[in-house]
Amino acid sequence: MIDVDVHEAFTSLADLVPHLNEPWKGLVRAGHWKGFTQPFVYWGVGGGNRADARPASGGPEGSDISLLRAQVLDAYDVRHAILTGYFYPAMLKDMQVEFATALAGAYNDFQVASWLDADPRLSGSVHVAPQDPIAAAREIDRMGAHPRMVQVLLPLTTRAYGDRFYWPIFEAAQRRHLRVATHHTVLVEGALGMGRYYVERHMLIPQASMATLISFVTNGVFDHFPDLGFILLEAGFSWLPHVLWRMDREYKSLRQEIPWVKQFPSAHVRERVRLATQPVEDLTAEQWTRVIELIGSEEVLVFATDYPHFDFDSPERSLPPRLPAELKRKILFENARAFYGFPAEAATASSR
Amino acid sequence: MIVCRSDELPPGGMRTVDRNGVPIVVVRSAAGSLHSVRGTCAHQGADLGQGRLTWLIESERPGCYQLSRDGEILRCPWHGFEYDVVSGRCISDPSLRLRTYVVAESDGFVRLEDM
Repeated sequence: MIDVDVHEAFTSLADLVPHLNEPWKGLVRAGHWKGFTQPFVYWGVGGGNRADARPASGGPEGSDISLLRAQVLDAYDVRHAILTGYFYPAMLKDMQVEFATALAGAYNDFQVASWLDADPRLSGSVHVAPQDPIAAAREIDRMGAHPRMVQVLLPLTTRAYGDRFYWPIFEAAQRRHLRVATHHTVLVEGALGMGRYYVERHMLIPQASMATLISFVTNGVFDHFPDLGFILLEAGFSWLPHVLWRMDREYKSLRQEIPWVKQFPSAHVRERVRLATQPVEDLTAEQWTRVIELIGSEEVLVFATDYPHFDFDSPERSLPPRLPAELKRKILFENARAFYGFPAEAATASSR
Repeated sequence: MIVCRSDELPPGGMRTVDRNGVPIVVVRSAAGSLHSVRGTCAHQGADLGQGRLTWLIESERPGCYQLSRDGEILRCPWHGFEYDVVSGRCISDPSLRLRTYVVAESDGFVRLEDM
């Protein structure tokens, strides 16, 4: 199988220090910045993570590669796992963009040295500070040459990334033959804000992916970047039929305002966008196949565990046993393989 | 069938006539050409005679609008679906199409040809 959303972590900010340049190295080493934190308390048994994912060494969940191997890579015959991190410099928002850019670069170097170099099954995400798109493009050019960097990760905060302000990022990603992934941050909001409760906010999270998709469509990202593929992570998928129908209906009415969009939004999405299945909503096999039928393509969904987060999906238990075997193979392996361009020969070796 | 006097249908103008209970919209484009389509939207049945003639709006790149064919695109008064009055084709939904009719002008009158 292929797992498209695995959150690796550093043990502490000190892990980034060797990869930072001055003046940031000294400031971080001196403890002048404490890192990101979430603006709420977690109610999961293990906080925001699986309660069994804390390494014996005492580091944070996701920071120990041997535990990642034991709990994901070896546990499920993972051929490829895409690292997505959870340290997103976009969370500095509009302040100190130079620092945000430096953090992204340091994290990428950390990711290569501590993770990609340690296990050939891992592929990486190029992290950027999208609030400075020119610097982000430079970072994409710098990291894009690494053979196991497969995508640029855009962290969802409160920004709609279809805006032309961000297009240097897409230009660089297309130039470097990378995919573009989106993943929410702890700053992401629903349409009416964060909500009052953590559970409420967790229910609201997919709205940001819906808004992102709509932003990509209406701003012409799919039309203007014909070689770019996009993957929406950790937003589930059962909402997609509604959004496709809604976008097509609005397009029929108001196409004149966005004449650069050359085909139905749903056609763009089916061709160019993949959705990670996690978190599955415990649908029955009939509900799964019905939703996929409504999406109109068996190629859109790709499997993700979201390890080590508490809403982890088991590759063996989150898909209903009665889901047709060929469809299951597409979701667990083939769709992601084709999307990322991994070699086809592994297909026969991994059919579980 | 006579639709109207020629001077009652200036460039950019639109007239609706009833032929055997079928509403038919006759338009004159900004360039002066005459066209005619069935006057009921193929989407939800709105009266296209209450719609608006516009341009064909295209784009070479995001943020750029290119206008052409002034008065040859008829937009439904309800949901704004766009019809090309020359072909009857719905621009935003190719699965929809309006019947077109032959319209001519002679002796100072605009006429619908017999079916």
